[in-house]
Amino acid sequence: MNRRHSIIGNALSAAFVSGVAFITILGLFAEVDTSLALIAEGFLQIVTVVAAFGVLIGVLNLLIFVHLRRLLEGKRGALYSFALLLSAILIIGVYSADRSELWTGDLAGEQLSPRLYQVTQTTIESAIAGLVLFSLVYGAFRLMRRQVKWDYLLFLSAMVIALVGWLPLDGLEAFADLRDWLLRIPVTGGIRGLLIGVGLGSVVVGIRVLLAQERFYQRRP
Amino acid sequence: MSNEVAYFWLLLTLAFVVSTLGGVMLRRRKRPLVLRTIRGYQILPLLVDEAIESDRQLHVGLGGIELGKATTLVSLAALTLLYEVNRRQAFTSSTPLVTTTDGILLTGAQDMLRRAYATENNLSAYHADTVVWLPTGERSLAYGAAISAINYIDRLSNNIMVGSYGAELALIGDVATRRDAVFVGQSIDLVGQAVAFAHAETPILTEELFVSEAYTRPDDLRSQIQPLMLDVLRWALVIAIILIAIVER
Repeated sequence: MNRRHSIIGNALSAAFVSGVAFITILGLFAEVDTSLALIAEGFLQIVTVVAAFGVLIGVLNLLIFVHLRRLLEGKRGALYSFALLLSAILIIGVYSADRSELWTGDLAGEQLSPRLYQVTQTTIESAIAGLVLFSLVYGAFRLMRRQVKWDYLLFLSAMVIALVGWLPLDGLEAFADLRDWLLRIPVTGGIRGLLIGVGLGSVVVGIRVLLAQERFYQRRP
Repeated sequence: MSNEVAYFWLLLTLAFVVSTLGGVMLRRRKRPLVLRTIRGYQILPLLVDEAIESDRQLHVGLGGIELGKATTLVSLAALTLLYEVNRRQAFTSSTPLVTTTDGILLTGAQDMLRRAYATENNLSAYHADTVVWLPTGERSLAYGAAISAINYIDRLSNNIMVGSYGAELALIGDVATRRDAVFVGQSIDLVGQAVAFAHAETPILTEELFVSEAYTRPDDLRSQIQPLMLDVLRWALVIAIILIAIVER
């Protein structure tokens, strides 16, 4: 009985998903204002609304299930959770004040939340980005310590050329030229190769979704 | 019909034909294809086993990808990998920690986990709060910093990072190294993939994410169509590029 239910459920969900997907694809290529295009647009609008709710669910999940719980249970890192909850409440307050135009005096008419974002988020992200260079050098060192292989050597050489090429010293122009060539030819080729690979992989997954071969909406082990 | 639309339908038709013929061929063959070795997939079962034995959470990161946007199909591939990873430990009370940067993917990941536990008749072990949404800034460094902190605070076992990352992956790789944890990294972004290569002993390279099912279920003939399709499409594209280059000369 369960097996029969499972087969019927799979067939229904597969027919539904494949149908919606095909209509959306056809609608995206149809002339503007035709019924197919309008139906596809309707589907996409539903996705947009769901996405907005998704963000809300994400925020609530993070604040309540992760940080509030950690704070109440006094787990490790509770102090960080407290700081995060406090800043979340503050930001919500500032944003609400921005929207309601509550600021007076020198701040009248100002939008403080974007400025807060610039000051905190962007600054901290830039600072962390500075550490990435050291992390990459350390990663290359670890690669070579682990094992010396031709692909590791290639990685290390490319990194050394790129780093030395940036140095503004006399006599190192050859490295700068080599770095430019690396960026122009092999790196561009590599990027295109990766993008083509991702594109083809997406086509494979897309076809499997259209043919109801994917596992997302099927009950099978 | 414009050229782009014609090429799109051509590619779609080719993929459809390969999928259908490949399925028939694999069923007749009755034994799985011999796939090339991908060390990132070889090590996955060991990571899950270690998480169970050490009673520490395995971390699966699905950062930078979103359902309903340009990376929808990458997200679906990542969810498949998540299901396959979790299937191995779903008979125990262990749960992985899954992090995402997209609200819809959060619910998708929760559903994948629930399904894995339901398959093993072990739904009591499933907890929705093991899937966590983390905010992402312009360069996702906020996500990277958060994962680094979680690694220390929650004493995670190992990290499997798939999705779209940039340089911030270096932070996670660095923390994993300091903790002597294994780090499997993959990114559809070139910078992130380079960092994953430098830090991960066993990286999964960009498009290899799309064939995860074939590697995690080596005996399932249905899942082996993925690498077959990918290779046929890739060779078709290579031949097309060479032909166009010759014709245009």
